[in-house]
Amino acid sequence: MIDSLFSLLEGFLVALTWQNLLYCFIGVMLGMIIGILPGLGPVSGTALLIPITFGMEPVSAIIMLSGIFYGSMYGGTITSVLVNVPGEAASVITCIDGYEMTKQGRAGTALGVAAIGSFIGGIVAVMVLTFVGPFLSSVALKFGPPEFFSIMLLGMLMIVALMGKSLIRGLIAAFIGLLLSMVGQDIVSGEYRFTFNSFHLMEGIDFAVMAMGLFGISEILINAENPARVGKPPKVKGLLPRREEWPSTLKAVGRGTGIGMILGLIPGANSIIASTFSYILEKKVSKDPSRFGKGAIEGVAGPETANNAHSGAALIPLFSLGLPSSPTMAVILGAFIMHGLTPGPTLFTNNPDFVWGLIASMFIGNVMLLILNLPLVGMWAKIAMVPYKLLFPIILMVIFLGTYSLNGSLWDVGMMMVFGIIGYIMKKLDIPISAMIVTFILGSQLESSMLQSLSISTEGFLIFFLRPISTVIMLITIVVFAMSIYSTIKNKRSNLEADVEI
Amino acid sequence: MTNAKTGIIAGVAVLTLGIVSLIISFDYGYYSEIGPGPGFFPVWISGILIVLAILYIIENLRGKNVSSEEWPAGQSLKQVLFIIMSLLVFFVLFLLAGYIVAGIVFLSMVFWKEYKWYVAVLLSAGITLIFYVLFNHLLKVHLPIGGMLF
Repeated sequence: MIDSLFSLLEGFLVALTWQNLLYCFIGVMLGMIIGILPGLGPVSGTALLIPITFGMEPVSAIIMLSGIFYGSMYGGTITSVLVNVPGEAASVITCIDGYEMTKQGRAGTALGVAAIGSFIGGIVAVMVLTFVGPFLSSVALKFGPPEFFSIMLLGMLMIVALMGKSLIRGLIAAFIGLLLSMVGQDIVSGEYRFTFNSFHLMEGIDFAVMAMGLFGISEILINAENPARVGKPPKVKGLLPRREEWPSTLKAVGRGTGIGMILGLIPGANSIIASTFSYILEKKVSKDPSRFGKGAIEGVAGPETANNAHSGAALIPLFSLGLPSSPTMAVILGAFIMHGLTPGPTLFTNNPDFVWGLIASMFIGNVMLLILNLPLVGMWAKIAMVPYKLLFPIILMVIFLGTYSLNGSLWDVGMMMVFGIIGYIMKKLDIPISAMIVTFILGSQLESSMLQSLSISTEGFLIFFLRPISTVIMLITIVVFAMSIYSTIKNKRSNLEADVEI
Repeated sequence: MTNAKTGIIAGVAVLTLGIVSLIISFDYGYYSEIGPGPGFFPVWISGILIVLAILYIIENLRGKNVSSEEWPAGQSLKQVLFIIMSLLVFFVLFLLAGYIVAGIVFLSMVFWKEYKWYVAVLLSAGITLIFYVLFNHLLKVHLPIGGMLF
């Protein structure tokens, strides 16, 4: 505990250098903008900015990318409340009561409560990360290849099971992702696989190329079909709730924090599940559920807190186990790898400056966001007014040039465009892209951990069931798998767990 | 075309991918002296992919669990194809004539219908040049101003 505090203080020394403060600020600003703009979500936002971080120090790069991620959670609320158009998917549920409050002339209160809730949720999640992260990673340091194999398998399966409406489609996406991760040189044997004698493929498919196409281009194409119409936002005044509303608001914030934290730890339980779950809970515990849908303040406070707590908590499995729990986490994991860092249990011991600097920056970033959101909220509303017809060509240009700048090669650009079309078709077929990107990034680790496990095993595949930790994880995996099959057969998969890329 | 039909086509595409990769996978050693070889994983992944593709096709044949997404038609389809087309133009021009020309032509194409022609051209030229300066000077990424033609 005390160790963590000291390390955190040292982290602040890293995060408080002027350039890291600047990158943190740029990150949260961009995050706000990405969150506000309908038609550009956090996944595509982070993916298309990866190339820009190339020349930076690793710590500054990741500080900025994480800022984009949690900043977008704040930004998404603004358009949901003001014009009834969610800026990103996690804020869909906020539209219900948030927009209703706007109609009653209480837009300021809705935004104020959302900002305060987001701040509390975000800060609590980062604090938990400060203390739980090192502990979890010290436990994970004792893990061998079999444990890692089973954890990765469970993580992937959870994502498939929780995202998307069909188990089969989810699995197809996951296995295509694994197959694509095989392209290039095999790290165990050194053999080149699926390269078709092309030297472009020898180093494998570039993660950023794939992410920019699958998320960036496909999103633009989807938006081209029916562009979101954003109306004129109303004037915002009065940011704080009435005195008698404070207790219920704070309780909703507290419950939202708890829900977001717990769901953030579970791979595949994305932030839309967290915010929806929080909304349902608020409605259940309310003395007068009929107020919901008519501008209930808890209906804004709870879900908005939950999605921010979720985004902080989602970093815990990433930092301590190297396990991305959502597509945005996968993109950030990709950025880690590009900057030569290995997320996982060794991160805290091998790169303490990096990890603690990043955690400290998140405290700072959340404070910046609170300031940006409370007094300056009116200014942000105007950003939503930037016409999409002007915006999307610029986004396409950024994606194109960003891909080109990775290696200065048009081959990458061509491949990115192919992935863009594949991503679009996948969205149309309702095959979850998120499952594909996560298995793609974990594929080679999954393979090497399995081969290592088998080479130290005298009992073949039984090794996964002979070591206690790996046995437990494997059994959970099997139960989850059996439950997903059962729910598929019984047709009980609800529409709530739709494939949303957060 | 119904969604079930497109689902079947997609299923056949995944099936083909699985079969092709399975055939290729047999070229890599399935087993080596220290345990499973480089072919082990690909063989299993392709094999499972084939099974999943078949299940997916069956699901679509029975009309169960079919995607509820609408495929674009009419104006929306045109818009989607137009964006893909203009990206291809950008790509080809970038190769032939470098970034500046490609960027201005690409942006003018997409702005054409939305703005008056001179606004579209000025806007495109401005944005293209801003990005040129941004990438070349701030991010130190060299964007070529000439291509195969000159």
